[in-house]
Amino acid sequence: MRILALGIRGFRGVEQANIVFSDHTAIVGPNGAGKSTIIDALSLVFARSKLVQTLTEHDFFGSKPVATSRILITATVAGFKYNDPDKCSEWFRHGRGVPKWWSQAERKALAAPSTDEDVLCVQIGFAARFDLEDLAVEQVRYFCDDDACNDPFDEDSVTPFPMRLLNEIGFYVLPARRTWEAAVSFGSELFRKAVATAGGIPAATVLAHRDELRRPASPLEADPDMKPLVDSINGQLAHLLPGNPKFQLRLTATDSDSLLRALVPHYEGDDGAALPAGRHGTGLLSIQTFVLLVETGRARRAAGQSFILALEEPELHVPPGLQRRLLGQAAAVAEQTICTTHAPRVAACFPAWDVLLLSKTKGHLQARRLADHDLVNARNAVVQLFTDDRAALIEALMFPRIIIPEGRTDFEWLRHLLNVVETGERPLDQSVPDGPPFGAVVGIVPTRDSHVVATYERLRSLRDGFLMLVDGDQAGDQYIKDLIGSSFLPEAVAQWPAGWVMEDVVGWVLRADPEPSIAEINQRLAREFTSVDEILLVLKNKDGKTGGIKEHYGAHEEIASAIRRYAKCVDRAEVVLDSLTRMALGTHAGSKHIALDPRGTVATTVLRFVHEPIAV
Amino acid sequence: MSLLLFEGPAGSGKTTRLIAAVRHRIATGAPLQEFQRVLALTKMHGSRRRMEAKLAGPHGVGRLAECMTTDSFALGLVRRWRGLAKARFGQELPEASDFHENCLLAGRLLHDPVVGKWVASAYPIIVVDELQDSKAGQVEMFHALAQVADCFVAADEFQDLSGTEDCEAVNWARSSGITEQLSVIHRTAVSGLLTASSALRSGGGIAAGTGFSLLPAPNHNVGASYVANSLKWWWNDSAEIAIISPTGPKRSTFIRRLFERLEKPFVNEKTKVMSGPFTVPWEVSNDAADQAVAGGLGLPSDDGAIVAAASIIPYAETALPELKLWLDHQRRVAGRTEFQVAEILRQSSRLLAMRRMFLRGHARKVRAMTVDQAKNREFDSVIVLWPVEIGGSSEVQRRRLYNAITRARLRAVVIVQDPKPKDSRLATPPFSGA
Repeated sequence: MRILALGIRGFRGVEQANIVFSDHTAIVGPNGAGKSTIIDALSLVFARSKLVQTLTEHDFFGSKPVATSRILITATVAGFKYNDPDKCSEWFRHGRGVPKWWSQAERKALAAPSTDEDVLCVQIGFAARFDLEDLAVEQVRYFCDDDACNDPFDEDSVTPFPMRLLNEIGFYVLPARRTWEAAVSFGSELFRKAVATAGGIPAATVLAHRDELRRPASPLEADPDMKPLVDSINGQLAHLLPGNPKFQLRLTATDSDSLLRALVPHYEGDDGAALPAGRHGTGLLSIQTFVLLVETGRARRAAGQSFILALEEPELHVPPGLQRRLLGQAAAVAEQTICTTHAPRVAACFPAWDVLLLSKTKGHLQARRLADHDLVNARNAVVQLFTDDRAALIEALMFPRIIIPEGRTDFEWLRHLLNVVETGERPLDQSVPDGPPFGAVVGIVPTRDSHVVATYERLRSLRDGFLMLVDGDQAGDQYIKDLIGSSFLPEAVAQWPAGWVMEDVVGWVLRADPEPSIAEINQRLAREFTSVDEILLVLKNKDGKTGGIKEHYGAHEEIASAIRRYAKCVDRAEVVLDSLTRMALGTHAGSKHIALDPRGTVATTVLRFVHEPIAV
Repeated sequence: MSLLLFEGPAGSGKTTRLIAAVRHRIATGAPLQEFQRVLALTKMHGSRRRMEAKLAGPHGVGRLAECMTTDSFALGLVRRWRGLAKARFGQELPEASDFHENCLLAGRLLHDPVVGKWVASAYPIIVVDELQDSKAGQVEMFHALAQVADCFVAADEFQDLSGTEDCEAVNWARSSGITEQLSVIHRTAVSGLLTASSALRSGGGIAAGTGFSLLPAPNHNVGASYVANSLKWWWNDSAEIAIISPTGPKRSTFIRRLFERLEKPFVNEKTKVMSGPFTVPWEVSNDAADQAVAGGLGLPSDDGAIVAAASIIPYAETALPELKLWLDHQRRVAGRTEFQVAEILRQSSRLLAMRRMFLRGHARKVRAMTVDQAKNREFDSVIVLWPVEIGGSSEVQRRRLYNAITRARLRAVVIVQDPKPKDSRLATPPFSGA
């Protein structure tokens, strides 16, 4: 079975959301975007009981529920053996669910099938309300018949959803917070379930252990050191109580439940020494729960049952080398996986059309697919953004603001400048500029082959907050013209000073303290430059044969390393980045280095970086 | 799927045969899965309770039966399938109180095979008694259900009091399935009763006989003394006595005064023996009961006026406690404290209807009721009052009288208000031939 879609209303920070899942989905977003809200909403519908018990006012949107406030979560589930409701009478019959049909084209559930491909599905609802007099949360799980469902608490006409059916769906979560040691013990619900699915508790063995514990070979109370005390106790008890009770000391409460709960997982190393799980390194511990889940999944699939696995931010506990393998194993054993993450690397394990980008505005949560299957029609350079450069693109898309530069080289230089500013050698008591740092606010898209306009065209459907960055040359002017004249109106475009390209910016940074920096560069690159202009000539030259290093990224690294050593250069680099940040945020008013360009329109602001500060 | 119709006069054992046929089907047909049930659809809650009791009884089907009124079934169905109703027919959900519209829509929905099978999945066997009483729009529902489930229905066309020429429902059943005719009357073996009821069916005149009397009463006092005597004579050998009339005390002065007189003692002039007084309660119609309760709520007379819950609650506590609960629920769940009078009245009716669903009437030895209220019930002795204020064609009147006297197991007397003995009403239909 599969969860096709999830609707959320009024839950935590989400006033409204509609999310459509693939077979294997990655949900990406920065912190606070709503990733864990989605997993928790799924957990509520599919009854991870602990979560349901602890609903409070803060789980209602706005944290201040009134009598009519509701948490409403609806999950659309498909994957029935037959596409005929008559053959699935456990789900569809008078008193149970009403058949719905999922239309792939419209991405929603319809009351009647429109084509032969439409798939039979059912909608399960979870609702909660806060009683202002009892100060308690009332909840109900029901078959949802219609989008315009009446309030499930107001009428006696709600059809309750039987818990038994939830087991058919088999929804499991690998949570972000894990109590590591407890995971593999009988105190853990998951472990008990895994054992039960795998074949049950080895009852005979447990009982044998229990009996041994009841009659140990050398009971403590018979030990010569303890015996005098024990005899004295027994003597007194005989005087005070009928029945002659005799004192004994036993491990555990000598029933099978205490025995099972007392078991502590150990792992044996190569050297034969076994250590309790808690004393092992995090690498082993964090995998424990996952391994259990996979085992449960395997057992369920072998029994012909469904298994759906949600993984919450696996990057928190799994080292990068293992992330891809873990995801692969999950996808192999589960009919469906849903993975939330804020690590671009993890998201990049999924194809672009299976990645959902989260953004939330005023409670409205949007989950947009990074790309549709029609990606193949796009111009080649843009397609690569979603294939080879996926990780970098996703990383950029998670920032509040995003710069689309002209090309790869610009992308690399900006990152170098960021590195310089963040790690550059400067006195510690340096005053910092107002405003948030570039590294926290701005992401950079690895634009390919100068397809600025095409790249923006594709990315703007995913979110807003883009700033185009073009060179101060004729090509850059043309881009600005194209963008302003286009049907999609970008918010802002920035341009380097007249005649400047990215390398000129680097040159300006070097000119802050030319002598030592040139010397350092000469030393690192084994060259003999005498001026910044000479360096720039070589930097702008693409032809490697004639000594050009425009795309020689190794050389750029060395230049950046050189810049890092000189405080005045680092300061200038910071001016550049700070200006870009302001331009991206729209807080450029009053900045010495940013000028408003007259080509701008009501819809699109055009800004110019000014290296010579203008009189404010 | 199949349809089996049992037809026959009142008291011929239709309901018993119906239930026996269902048992046979369960025992010999495709076995029922553990969640499947027999669905019995009735017209009213009273009949629903009685059907429930019969189905659960020793010759019934035990826990396999579920009984609903056809209206509730339609309402529930329409609510669950409102998505399809909108998509397919462009129709919005009708008001819950508009039973007619709901039944029509339910009929349309049931004709969709997905919906029909959805019902049959849970209810492969459907039972409808008193099919002749089905309302407009319900025949379509039954027709659709008969395509997907095994249906067992019972009807007696002659007991259709609606006044229409043909009974649509019975015609449908006759043409769609197999009919079994029942002719032997089991309810009573008393010859006078059998002769009279059979005469009414065939349109001939009726006359007194063993266990059956026809008494003209020139005024209410005479009528009352006839009633008093009957009650006195029959008291000891009747567990239940019904006084049945086509109209109630509100519409007939004769009836009203007769009952008023009944509440005073009677003295036989010759023997000086006393009888009575008799206080006979009328089974109140649902509407009247609703109005009585509503009257006790202290509501303004304008339906559109807005009242605060707080002002109703003190009255509700005594008049209708369920209303207080409902008002509390509305406050907690929807934050509502003010309501339109019309809505309060609607909810009161609904709550009273629900109460009727679960309440068993208390058994009293003597009760007065209308012919409609008496339908499908039986009593040891029956007193029929026939006031002047009776409308309808002679055919309808015959049917009403038939309905009334066939309630009796042991005996019946018809007391006819006859102010002009010379032009005696007994010489006119329904008492005379057509």
